[in-house]
Amino acid sequence: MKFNKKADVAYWQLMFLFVRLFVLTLVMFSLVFLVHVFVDNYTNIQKEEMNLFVEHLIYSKNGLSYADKQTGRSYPGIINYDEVKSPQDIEAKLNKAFSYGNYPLIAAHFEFVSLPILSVWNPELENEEIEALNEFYYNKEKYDEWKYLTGWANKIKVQSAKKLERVVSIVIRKENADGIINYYPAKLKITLLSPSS
Amino acid sequence: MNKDMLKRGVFKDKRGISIDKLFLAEAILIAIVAIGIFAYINNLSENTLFEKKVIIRDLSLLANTIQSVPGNVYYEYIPSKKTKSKDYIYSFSDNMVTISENAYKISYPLFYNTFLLFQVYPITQVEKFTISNFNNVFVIAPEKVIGIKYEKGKSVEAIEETKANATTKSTEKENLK
Repeated sequence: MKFNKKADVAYWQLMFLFVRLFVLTLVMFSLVFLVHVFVDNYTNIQKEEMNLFVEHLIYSKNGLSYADKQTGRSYPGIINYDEVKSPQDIEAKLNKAFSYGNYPLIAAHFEFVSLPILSVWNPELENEEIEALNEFYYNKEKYDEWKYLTGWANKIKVQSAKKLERVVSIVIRKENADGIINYYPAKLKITLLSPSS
Repeated sequence: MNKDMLKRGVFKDKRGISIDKLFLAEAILIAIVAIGIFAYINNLSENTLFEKKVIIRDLSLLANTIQSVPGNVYYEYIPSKKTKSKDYIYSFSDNMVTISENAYKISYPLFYNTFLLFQVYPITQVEKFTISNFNNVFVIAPEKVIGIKYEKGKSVEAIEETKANATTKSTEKENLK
């Protein structure tokens, strides 16, 4: 392009003035955006909340661990078979122990990934049967909603959820009809979901 | 700009606009953006939003942890020197930790372990406040309070679920007797 007149150069400059105006505005807003991203990242406690939830389940009297009703003593890592046998009962207990009211922050799925084979663990119990424990949930409604919001693809979306998986070693306590108590080692897989926004 | 130029407008002016005017416009633009950025940064340094966000999350985690402990816990929360000088009002209600300063409020959720009995006192401009969990009684108070503090003629203020829970427990105890 050839600029013959001083005025043509000025018009050209004027056009670029709008481009510069746009770039400057972009820089200003990106600065504000970066500050907000930094503040949100620095104050994000999702991971700590989810870990605390698991520790509560294992160590607290009102979590999954067995607590002696008479002495009030809790046994961390020991789960009473009768308590987790019915998913409805254990879900009701967890909802009472972690009542977030109208602001649910965590949803969880529980699955016993390795139940012991009784005859290997204790040959004397060969004839006794241990029913497979069913999976259960905490805040199932939200879990079903948030499980589709995990993963990298969802990170750029307005709504996303953070996922944390933990496998904890536990001992299942089972009292039979004769009052004899047996303990079986097992593993419990806990999948936690927490919304990012 | 002369009168003719104003009538015809900048783009219709055959004589065009001079480079000097463009430089002037650019200088004004840069000045506006620079002032905007400096004002924002200055506002950030005075803004207490970040501080409040950190405090409410800290308090929420703390309250959740104390509710989760299987034994008895007594904890004294001492705000930092910078925070003490501010007129912050802390409240723990409706599953929320809230810090309010004048009309401005900021909240963060916390869970209630409804197997515990709750007693929460309002906390205003204090040097420290206490959070305790003794014998299944969770107390947040500006002074050292462990367990339920009974006052003559006043009933214990517990949240709805725990009230129901407490009533059930006391009925069970009476039945045992």
